Amino acid sequence: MLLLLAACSGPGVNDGPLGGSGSGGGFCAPVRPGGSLAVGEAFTNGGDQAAQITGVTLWQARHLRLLSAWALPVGSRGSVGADFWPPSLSVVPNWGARVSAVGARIPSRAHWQIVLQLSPTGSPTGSAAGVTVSYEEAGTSYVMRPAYSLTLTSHRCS
Amino acid sequence: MRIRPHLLSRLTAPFLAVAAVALFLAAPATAVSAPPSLTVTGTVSYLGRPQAAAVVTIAAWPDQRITAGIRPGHEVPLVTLGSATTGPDGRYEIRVPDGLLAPEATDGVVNLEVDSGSGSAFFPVTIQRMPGNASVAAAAHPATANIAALSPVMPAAHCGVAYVRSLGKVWTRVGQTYVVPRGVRQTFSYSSGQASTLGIAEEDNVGSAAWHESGSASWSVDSGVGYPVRHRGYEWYYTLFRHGEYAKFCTNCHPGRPNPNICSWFTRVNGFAAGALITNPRTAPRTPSGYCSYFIPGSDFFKDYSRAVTWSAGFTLFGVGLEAQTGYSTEGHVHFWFDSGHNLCGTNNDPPHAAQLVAR
Repeated sequence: MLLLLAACSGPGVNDGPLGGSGSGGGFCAPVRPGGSLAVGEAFTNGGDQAAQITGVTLWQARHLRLLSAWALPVGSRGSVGADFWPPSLSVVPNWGARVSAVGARIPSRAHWQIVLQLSPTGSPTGSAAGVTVSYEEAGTSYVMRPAYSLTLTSHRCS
Repeated sequence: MRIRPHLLSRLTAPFLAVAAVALFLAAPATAVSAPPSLTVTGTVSYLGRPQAAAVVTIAAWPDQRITAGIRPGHEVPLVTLGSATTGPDGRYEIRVPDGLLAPEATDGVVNLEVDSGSGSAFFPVTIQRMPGNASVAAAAHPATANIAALSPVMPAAHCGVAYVRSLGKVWTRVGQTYVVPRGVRQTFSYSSGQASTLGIAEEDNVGSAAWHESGSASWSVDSGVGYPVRHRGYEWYYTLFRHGEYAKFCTNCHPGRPNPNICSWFTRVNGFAAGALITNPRTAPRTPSGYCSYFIPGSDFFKDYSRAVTWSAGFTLFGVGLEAQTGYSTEGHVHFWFDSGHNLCGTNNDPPHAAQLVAR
């Protein structure tokens, strides 16, 4: 019975080595109709081994589409919060070093970011309650899902 | 019980010692299968030596509505939750069922006091309601409190706390935001349900006549405070809390002193008075560039306030800068609007996880 429960329960959320604590928040950013934005999610691998990202999805998305997801180290200029697509080299000078987020290996103790290309679809405003990042480290599966909502709109943000 | 006025006068005596008490929570917030209880462990010592056979009790302050209604000269109706006797090494352990904590909790926070008869420590614990109306004590990390043991082990005696007098309203810092460039607006809100943990200052009845910080107590507000949206600048947000002076008494606490039943005096929050005040510090905290995130014009960012920030001098009583910490709920938050493109930087982490935020 316990084995059955363990098999069905899946990995816990935010109990792995990636990410940081936070009590919630979010942002809104303007996007021109039909356009897309770059949205970043920075994190640190606090584990002793490299982590491999196995999936990136939007959580509770409404009228918001994930077009692509990339991973790269956070440099001295910081990370992407919300930027035009593609992100400016003044913000992400190492943009050329990006790799596909799914399959990316995050070294131990490294500070990286996932940059998402997002676009509202079917509505002027698209939103998601967060981003779900699945990954494995040392043979164990984890899920990182910061309590950080995203809203993109062709109207005005509040 | 009414306390005679002469018991509340000031005394002095040359005793002072400190005992560390480590507090561990037996049941994490998510461990519903574990017995729902709070385990308090620690030691009692006097002048650095462990005190065996000391009776340690743990008590809850009453719900804050009761605390706020106590008049000067009256005893605080503390609710005893458990007790233990220290072993030869001065250590003790007390388990408190969460079911005993919940009735004294206000908005999910219960204020506890551990007492050895010759010293005490104050700390708040959050209570998380679970499905089925059960509750578990919840805290992110084990807490540590310090007891000021004033004398060697004494026989078990009647001890208590009496309300001496009101200290009035004190401006207390509950939030902060910083905007360095033009083109970014900022604000902070302190909403109903938010709780602040405020430091307790204590003066031992031992002759040193010095107030020192001695633990903390939490107070939940029942109304919100909104602050105006400000442009470029550094903003510290204050609101008003009421504080009172209390006396800790035990039978013959300080033999030979003029008022031997008084062990110490301490200050404690006992009310919320609202009010909004903003001051402007001269500098903003430093932020590593790696913890900055860029936001385009027209975007905005908000973050629910957490318990991540402690101000070592959030307010001052009797010349002691006391801790002020905002948190326990997620109903207060900071908000930034980017009219032009700028970075939002965290002091210790990326902005969604940072303790403090600075727009640059």
